[in-house]
Amino acid sequence: MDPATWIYLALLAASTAASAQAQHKTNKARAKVQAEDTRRRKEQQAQAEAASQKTQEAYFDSKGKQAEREAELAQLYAAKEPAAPTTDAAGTHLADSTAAPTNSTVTIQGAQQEMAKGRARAAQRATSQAQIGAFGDVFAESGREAGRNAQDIGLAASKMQGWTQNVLPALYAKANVAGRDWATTSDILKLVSAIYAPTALGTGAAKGAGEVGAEQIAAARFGDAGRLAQGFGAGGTIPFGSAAGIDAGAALTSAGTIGSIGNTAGSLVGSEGLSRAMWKQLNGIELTAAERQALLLKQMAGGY
Amino acid sequence: MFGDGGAGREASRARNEELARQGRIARGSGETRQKFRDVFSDDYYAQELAKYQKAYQPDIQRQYKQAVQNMQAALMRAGLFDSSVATQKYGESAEALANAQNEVTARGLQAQANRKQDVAAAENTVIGQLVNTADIGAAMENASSAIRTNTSPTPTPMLGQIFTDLSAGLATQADLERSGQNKYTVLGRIPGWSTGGSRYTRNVGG
Repeated sequence: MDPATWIYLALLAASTAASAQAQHKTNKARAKVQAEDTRRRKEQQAQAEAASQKTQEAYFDSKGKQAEREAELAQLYAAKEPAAPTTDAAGTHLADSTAAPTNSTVTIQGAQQEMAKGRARAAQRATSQAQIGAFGDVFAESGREAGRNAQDIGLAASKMQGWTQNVLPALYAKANVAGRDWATTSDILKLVSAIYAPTALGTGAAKGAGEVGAEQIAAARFGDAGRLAQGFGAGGTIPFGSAAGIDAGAALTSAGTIGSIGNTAGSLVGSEGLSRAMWKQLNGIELTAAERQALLLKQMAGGY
Repeated sequence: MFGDGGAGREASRARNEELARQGRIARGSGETRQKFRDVFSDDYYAQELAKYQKAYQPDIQRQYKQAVQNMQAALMRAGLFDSSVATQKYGESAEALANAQNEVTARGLQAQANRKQDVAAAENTVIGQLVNTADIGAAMENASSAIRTNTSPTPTPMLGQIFTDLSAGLATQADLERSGQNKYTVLGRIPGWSTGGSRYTRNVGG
């Protein structure tokens, strides 16, 4: 192969490599975004689990907590030490310093005993109240703690939601264009190679025996510009079915020497000539030898 | 043609804004909770309970004095001032006083529990709003407002009459004691074992 062909192939290879690199960079960037997303989800899960664990702990050992609270409440309920009976010249004031005094020792002692019993009954009642209250207080406190933990779970979920809604799409958008430079490079290389193709595969390249040049194929497909101009004449308005049109096709196709495919100037025919020859064949009008050959050549070149 | 068409800049902006938003929420919720914790501490609740109990003391003491005076007057009228009935009545008065104190404590604790629930709900509301707005300033204002609302004095409704029965039955008891019939007739309560009891015995026993 000649150097031009090598260059052409090198351009194609570089284009393919650039395209692969573009894909690689995009995939890598997307994987990075995904990894960060996964990390954040795991973080959120860990936070939620920690909060949930705290809630479990809040309800754990409720009996111990109740006993503790019961003791606190008992302290709060504990009857204040009553004022001791006061004694003055008038006698002993039992219930209150302003109460009527008594001088009866029996009454004083009996009253004090009865008052102690009365306070003990009240204390017993208070103990029951403390037990009931402790149960409610412990579960209310656990409930409040659970509420705060639920709020923490909500906060973690809100963070994740904000990330997913506000950041993730932008990160993916960025990742999706991470390989854009390489993709553009690949496109440019493809374009250059496409432009360079005729040079690499056409007249610029040394043809071996029996090889067809690119310019020959192109001319066979699209026609020779000079002949085309000649055939269409002024505006290319000669009708296909007219005698002049039939003759024009024959004239165009027979203008050159058709036998030698390598002889560009002599053998190639214009599009109009071929079109007119095709029209004649379709309408049962006998073709000239030049026209038949021209059509055949066109078919071989893949034109029709 | 080359470059990312601004995608990187947009991603960076979105990331920074979101991180800033999350930072504001985290900081705001922490500060809100701290603010509530500072105000509604264990000391605060203990003081509130003490205030609540204290608020009722004048009424309780006034009623108690009154009740004891009435009881003593009734005992004197009945001639039972120095008697076993009087000692029982003193016992009842002491029990009634302790029960009144306990009732006030129980009400205070209930008020405390209600306040704790209200505070937790208020804190929850403030943080909920913060999560939606990410506005620390507004959250702090809401927190202050909620704290103001929840630090208003706990209502202390009147207790009503708490010493009502200290004089009850004294007149009948006196009558019984004077007639020597202030005892239960155990056998007389069994059909066929009448001891010729009186109306008083029937009244007291039956």
